[in-house]
Amino acid sequence: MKFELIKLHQLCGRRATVYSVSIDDEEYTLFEKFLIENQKEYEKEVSHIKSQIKAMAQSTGVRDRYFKKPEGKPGQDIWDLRDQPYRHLRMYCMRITGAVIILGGGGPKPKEIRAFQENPKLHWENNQLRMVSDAITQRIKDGDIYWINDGLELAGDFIFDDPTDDP
Amino acid sequence: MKKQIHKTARIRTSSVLEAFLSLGSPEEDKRVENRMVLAAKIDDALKAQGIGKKQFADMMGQKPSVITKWLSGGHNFTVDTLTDIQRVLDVRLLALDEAMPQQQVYRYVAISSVQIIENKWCIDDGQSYSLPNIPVESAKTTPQHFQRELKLA
Repeated sequence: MKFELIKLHQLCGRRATVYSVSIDDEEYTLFEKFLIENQKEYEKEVSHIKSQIKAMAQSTGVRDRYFKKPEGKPGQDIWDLRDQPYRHLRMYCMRITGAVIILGGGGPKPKEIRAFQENPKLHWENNQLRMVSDAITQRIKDGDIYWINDGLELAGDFIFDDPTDDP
Repeated sequence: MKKQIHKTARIRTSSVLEAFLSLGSPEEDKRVENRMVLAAKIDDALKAQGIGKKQFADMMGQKPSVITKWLSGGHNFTVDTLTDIQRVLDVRLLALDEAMPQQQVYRYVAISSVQIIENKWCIDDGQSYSLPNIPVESAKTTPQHFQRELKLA
């Protein structure tokens, strides 16, 4: 699986830079696919997510309190941004710092399930972002991705040919 | 010394993101932002004072789960709750101590006691009042004890 980190310029602000991920040269990033899949049926929920991302980018920064506890192994910063107060959707993100966020995919969480693992779609979306998280974390450790502009933005090598190539 | 050139991520703009940003309203955005800012201010005050969530819950007489909700950025606080948090954490959340605007002075007077001097309504207390949009002559022909509200000029 090849993927690339893409900056979503329209969502960025003075307090945070917003990225998503393009998998295998697909036209849309994971976040755009989330919007295409959910925006019509869950308009007010997605609208609330929009307000939250806007506030984080322009006003408050990416604070961990705004997200549900990390989903994933320790060290994998996969967080869950919810559409309050409805809580019908799950959208998975990677919070790198208080100023950088990577938006992934997600979907509706059926009421009858307790954990995302019980839903194939949510499980797949969560797994996608975990693989991305592992690869990006390794590049940061190796210094191949680093911070610029006082920690507001990332720079470096954003193209991953195959996450399993990274040691 | 040569300026280091950093390779940044490819930038993407799209109609999908444009449609996303046009959802909702600026009013709703502001409501969400204000809730998140309040949560951030409370969280910063807790961290600055080294107060944990459980301790803060005890100080406020609340369950820790309520504090989690407060700090999540989604809670719609009441004025009373913000007042209490201000007091407990000594943090400014409400801007109510700013100077109040000067009050307008209104008086009710009997129309029969009104005179027109230099296009201003005057009554026998020596003050002059302005009352736009009300024709003076029509007011003077109304019954003697008809009263109007006059704003201090």
